[in-house]
Amino acid sequence: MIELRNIAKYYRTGSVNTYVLRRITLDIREGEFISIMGPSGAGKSTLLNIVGMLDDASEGEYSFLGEPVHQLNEKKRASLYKEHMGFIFQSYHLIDELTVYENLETPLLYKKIKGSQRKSMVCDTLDRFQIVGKKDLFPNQLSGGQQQLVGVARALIANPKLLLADEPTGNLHSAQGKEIMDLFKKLNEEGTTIIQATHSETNSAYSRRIIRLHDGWLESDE
Amino acid sequence: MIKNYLTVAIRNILRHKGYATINIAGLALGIACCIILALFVRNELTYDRYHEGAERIYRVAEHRKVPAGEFRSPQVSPAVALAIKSGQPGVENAVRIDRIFNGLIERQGLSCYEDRMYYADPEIFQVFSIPFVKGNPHSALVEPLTVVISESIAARFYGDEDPVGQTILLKDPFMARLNDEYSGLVEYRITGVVEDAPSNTHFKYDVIVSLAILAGNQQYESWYGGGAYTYVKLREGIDAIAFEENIRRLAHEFEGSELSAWGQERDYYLQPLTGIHFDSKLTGFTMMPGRGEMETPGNYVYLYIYSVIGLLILVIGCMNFINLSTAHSVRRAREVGLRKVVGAGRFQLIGQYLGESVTITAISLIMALLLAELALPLFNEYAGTTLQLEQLLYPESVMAVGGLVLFVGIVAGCYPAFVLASIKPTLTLKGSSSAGTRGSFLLRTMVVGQFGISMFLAICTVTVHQQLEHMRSQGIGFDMEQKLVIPFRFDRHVRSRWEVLRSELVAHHSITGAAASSSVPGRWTRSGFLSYEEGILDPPKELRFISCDPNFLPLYEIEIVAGRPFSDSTDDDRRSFLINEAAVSYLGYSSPEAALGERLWESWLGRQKEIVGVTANFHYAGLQHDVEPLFMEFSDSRFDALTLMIAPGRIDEALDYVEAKWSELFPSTPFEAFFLDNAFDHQYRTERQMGQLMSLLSGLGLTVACLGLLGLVSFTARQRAQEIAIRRVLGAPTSRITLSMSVESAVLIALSGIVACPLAYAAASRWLENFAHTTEIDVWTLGLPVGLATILSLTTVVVCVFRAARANPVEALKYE
Repeated sequence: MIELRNIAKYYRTGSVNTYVLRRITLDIREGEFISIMGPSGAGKSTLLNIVGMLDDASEGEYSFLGEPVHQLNEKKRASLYKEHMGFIFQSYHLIDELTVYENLETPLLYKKIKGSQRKSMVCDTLDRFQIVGKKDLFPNQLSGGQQQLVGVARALIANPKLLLADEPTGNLHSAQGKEIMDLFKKLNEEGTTIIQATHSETNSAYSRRIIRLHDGWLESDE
Repeated sequence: MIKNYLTVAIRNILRHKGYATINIAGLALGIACCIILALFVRNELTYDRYHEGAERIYRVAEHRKVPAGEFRSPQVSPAVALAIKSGQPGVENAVRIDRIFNGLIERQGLSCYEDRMYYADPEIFQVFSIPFVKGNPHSALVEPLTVVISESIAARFYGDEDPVGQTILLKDPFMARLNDEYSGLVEYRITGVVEDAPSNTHFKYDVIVSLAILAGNQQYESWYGGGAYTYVKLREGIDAIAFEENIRRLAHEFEGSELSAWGQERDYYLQPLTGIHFDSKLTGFTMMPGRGEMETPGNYVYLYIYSVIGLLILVIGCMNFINLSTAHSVRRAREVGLRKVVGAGRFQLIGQYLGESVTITAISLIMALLLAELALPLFNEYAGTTLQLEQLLYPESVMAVGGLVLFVGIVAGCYPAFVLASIKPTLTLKGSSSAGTRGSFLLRTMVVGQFGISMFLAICTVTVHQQLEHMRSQGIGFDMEQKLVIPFRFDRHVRSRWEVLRSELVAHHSITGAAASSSVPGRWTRSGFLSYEEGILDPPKELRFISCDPNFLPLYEIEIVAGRPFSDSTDDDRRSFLINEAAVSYLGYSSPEAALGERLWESWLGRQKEIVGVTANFHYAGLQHDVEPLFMEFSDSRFDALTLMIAPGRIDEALDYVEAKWSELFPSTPFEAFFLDNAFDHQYRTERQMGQLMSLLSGLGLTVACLGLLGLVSFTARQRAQEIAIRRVLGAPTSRITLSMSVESAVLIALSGIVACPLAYAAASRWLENFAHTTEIDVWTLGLPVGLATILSLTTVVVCVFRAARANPVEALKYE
């Protein structure tokens, strides 16, 4: 599904290149549940952003479902992203001005899905995550765990093949974190490919493959 | 999709009510001011254009040379119209309109003087488009002793009654010269009611009286006398220049050789109706009152000034809107990033933010229209206009307003739409502050622009006020405090009993003095020509005359510099002149003393008068003009006003007494009185209106500019929140941080001042060129407004920055 070849990411600071990622080569198949681990500054988020097409690699090749992402223009890439990926953040990142219902609806709007179908998809998702009662609330009226639940629901509403999660439980206490991880496990069992960046050994235990990064280098791949 | 955008837009407005109010209100105010000023300017520019076939209507004017001088008059002999109508194939119609000066209306005990009363031929309704509410325009003024009144006169005198067919009493004090039968109050039959005259016509009527009682009067229709505004409507395709020749030829035939025997020459020319308001400033021969233009001509200078002010206010409003929107949109960087993450394309984002911004601009436009609608009645009352919002409903203006809304909306929406939407979502989601820096050059330019314009307006405002103050106070040469003026309105009965009135009034303890005169400073003064026994004065000049009694000079505290004032005892003074210093130098004497004893001829009257005294110059015509040569005589047949000196603090008492006495002496004549200082100030009405309007607008501009600055400062404060927090953690005191952050704003404001001062100086100097006596533009004129603007704006900045500096540093550092 994902093939990374010699991916590198650096920022120019003065005349020197500061590397965040170095020569990462990685293959990810459909249905995998992967944790990217490593200390702060190891490049976990950057790798996740590159895979999620939120950021470009400085060097190297990246192909997603056989498409050479590094050669695609922004429009193609955006549609590829829209079609197949969902993103979850540590700080939830819901749109404050929109209700839960509207937040869930937004990705569907951008996918230009028809009104009636959109409505049934949002209702299904609300059902599935058991947040029907919260649909008219605004994000700041929810607890962190509930917000993250909405975040996950929003990422999954369009049935992406790939779910990317950047420290999904970082702002949650452990019980809430466990709920999210159980949910991830269940989703993975249903067929969604998941890549999560995490600090937590507990969380990584849910995954079936752990990639460790250190100072931008791929250290181990178990 | 649109619903989603609208939801976000509306919730955003509701969430940040303060910001949204300021933003929308600022722009709405700007647009509203601009709309009203545009209406005003349009009103001026469309003068008399609404008449059907306006481009074919001309007024006949004359240029007359007499041995002692020359003048141009908008009023010509009533015979001209007759000649034009009878023998000219190119004429569709012609009409004579003659002003009734100091006319009086009376009905059932209600009486008043009416300034907008005219005689007119029945053809007036064919030449001009004057809509009838009641009555028949074809027959309305055909019969003698018929009259057409405006709706407001009808409402005043008849209330809900139907005035048509009823009678009303009118008096023309000048009628006695022509037809003694009609010299008093005459009963007229009302044959029609017309709509009130709009504000964009030079011919503002309230009462139109049939000219039939004068038609056929040999004296009135003489080629040598009279003076009626004569309008001719040419047939289509007739060349006005060629037609002018016809009039000259006709006039020459009729006038014969008598004029040249008197040493006079007369030339006629046509003035296009639509150009009268701005281009015609004919004074006529002011030997008689009521000569010259029907109303004060328009002034292009003020039109430019109002247009420029309107545009500047609009620009400030727009800049403010763009500024605040941009500053505020930084808060939405995260939303932009999020939308990208959930799949929004660049163009979708651009569409959303531009659409949102244009929507808010459109809301402002609606508010502006409401504001303008609410403010127009006030403005109309203030400026004496009849502006309506509907007058803006023509394609150009609708397009202009629509284009403006679109433009401002797009510029204001640009920042979130283009800048934020192009940034990688990963940057905005981290809440990175670097996202904002690209917009700040725009914001800074806008702030400099706003403050530059505000200071410019403020400096101009101060200049206008200084000039007004200057005109009020600087050496007018006479005293105008505590003076109550009772005009006689050319009433022969009042005039003949002026001495009785004077002695009765002076007897009261609240009145310390009284003087009769033909006019008071600031009002119409008679003009005429003088000559030496042996020949004309050189260069020939229309001279000014005031008739006054011996009490006039002491009452007005006008200084005598040579000779003696008039005295009651010598009957000789009826054949004496007092002249002013300007007249001394005009006549070419080396000193005031040298002029004494000189004899001058009043050629029109064949009389000779001797100069017995010289007064210091005083500004009898207001400070817009230089003091012209003035000749004062003691001729009680010309007296037309009594000036009373009121004892301090006894004004009410005096007014009651004077009114009571007047009713006792002249029971059939309405009582009128005004205070000289108010009336004198009235001459500066245009200037004062401009001063007040500019105070209001520059105040508004400055307020809006401060809001814009507030936007910029809170924008930078948010950008630098982290820096401030770190400084705080490192131990910097709040005051130090406040100072260092205010420096930038101070530089911007200084820059605005540097831009504004020279421009304002240039503009103010240009304006001052309109006046004969001007104030000086000094350091204070420039410094005061700039200083005030600086203090105001820096206070704004410091308050805002201080709050940012006081904030808990932990808040700002938490997320990084």
